[in-house]
Amino acid sequence: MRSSLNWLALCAIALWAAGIAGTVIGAIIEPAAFLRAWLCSYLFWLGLPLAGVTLVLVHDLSGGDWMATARPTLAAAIMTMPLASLAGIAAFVGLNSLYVWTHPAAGLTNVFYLNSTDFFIRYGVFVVLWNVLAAYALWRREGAAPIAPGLSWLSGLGLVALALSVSFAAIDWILSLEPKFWSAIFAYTQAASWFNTGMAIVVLAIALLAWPAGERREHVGDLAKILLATTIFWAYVEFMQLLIIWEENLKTEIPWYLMRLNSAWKPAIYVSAGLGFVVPFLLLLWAPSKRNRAIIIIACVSIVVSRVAHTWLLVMPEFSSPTPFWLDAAAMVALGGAVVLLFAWALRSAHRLAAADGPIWRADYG
Amino acid sequence: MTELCGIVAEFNTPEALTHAAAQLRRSGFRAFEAYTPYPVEGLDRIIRPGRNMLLPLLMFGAAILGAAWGYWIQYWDEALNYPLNVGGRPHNSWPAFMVGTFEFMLLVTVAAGFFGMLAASGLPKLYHPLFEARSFERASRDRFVLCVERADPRFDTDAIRRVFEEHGAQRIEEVRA
Repeated sequence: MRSSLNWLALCAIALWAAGIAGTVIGAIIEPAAFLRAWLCSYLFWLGLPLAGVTLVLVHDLSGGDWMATARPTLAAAIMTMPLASLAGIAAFVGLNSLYVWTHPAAGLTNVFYLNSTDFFIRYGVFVVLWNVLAAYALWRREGAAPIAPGLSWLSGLGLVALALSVSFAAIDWILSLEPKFWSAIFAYTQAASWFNTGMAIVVLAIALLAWPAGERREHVGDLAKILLATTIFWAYVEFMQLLIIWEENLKTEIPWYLMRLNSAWKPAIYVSAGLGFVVPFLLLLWAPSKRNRAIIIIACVSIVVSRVAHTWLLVMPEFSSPTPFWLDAAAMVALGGAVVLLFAWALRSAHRLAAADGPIWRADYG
Repeated sequence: MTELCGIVAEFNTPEALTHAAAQLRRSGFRAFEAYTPYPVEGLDRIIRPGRNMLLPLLMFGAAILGAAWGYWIQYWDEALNYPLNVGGRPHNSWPAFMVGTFEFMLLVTVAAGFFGMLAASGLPKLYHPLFEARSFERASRDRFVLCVERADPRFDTDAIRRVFEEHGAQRIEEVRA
């Protein structure tokens, strides 16, 4: 068991090294393509700490025994916030090549909001706010107990701030790639997408590394229920956006979909919808399957893969010159390796919060 | 009013009832039922352990049937029976049909679940011998009632009475029909 895990760790490190090498080479030979690839990687991995903070703050208000099993892994996910939130800098240094609104055509009415200075100010505000919320979410909580009742108003306020800031971030970073396109529900789709990304990674980590025994098995069932519910929510808002825009058939909105439908990224639509909704929905629908380790692992991997494809689908078709796929994958792995390594390290140091039956995994790497 | 139908016990707390039910199951009794004013956590798994697949399967089947049915109504109407050109879109436009398909699936599924639940519980039932028991009067208010039926192969009045008394039953009655 131990030697096979070390072997696995070695493969992971080799993959990470290859990702970093690919990213560095890509950044040198194709700087514009590197920026897009890195933006996608940043957008994807940010979901992990964002979902962690969201779930901890929601639990402060709702309570629930499942937190006893989820706390260490969620805490480790939140610990990746500084790295995951600051990683955007590498993409945003090349703002002029990423966003067309940085050199606006005459007559664009939203330049009062979409301009480089305000963009960087907003980015700074998001980073500070999210890291403060991350620190708050790690503070004075242990096991299944939420924050002290006298402080729960802070969690409520934090959730409101989080929802608003995440919405504006989604608009700034993704929706503004096409400054003439507007969809009021887009912030919901992206927030749900971020939550599903992080939640799937957290549940996957619990299923792989800290699968609980006995009564605590119910906690995994509860987490799977949350994952199922937010998967349905994502599919719902994503479909509503499509339905409304398809029905309106307006010249300002429908091109956003046509651009994706007629690009090389068309298969990503099926990956995003199929692995992001259909597969996990059918797998997790039946109550006993929510406590089945293999089914949960398959559903989580499916969601993670679908979110990667979805992120690429949102960003890549906006650019006429295609990015080499190896660079997309390399950037995803390069940042992913760093985030996962930090996540794994934080998970090991969170042992005191861990399940009573102890972790089953103690690979020595990192 | 002479044939024995079962033995009823009235408990003050849900915990006492749960423990008595668990004891009955451990002793090998199978045909017993609890009557409580509100759902008691975990009691259903003590009285009927194992997977109850009938209703989930019925509802899943109904969901597939409902979705297919709902889609078919719209497809038949819009593409086969009375094709209308709406904004130049194809007659078989799945995005437009999705909402109706979903709603119809929900209707058929919930109806199957509701009527399936009634059928599986043997409802509606206008009379049950248990209604004659004095203990049963407060089962819908503040008492927790457990009844072992005569149909149980291990039915033994004295053994059941002992279990009930051991767990603090307030009143034990024999129900006759």
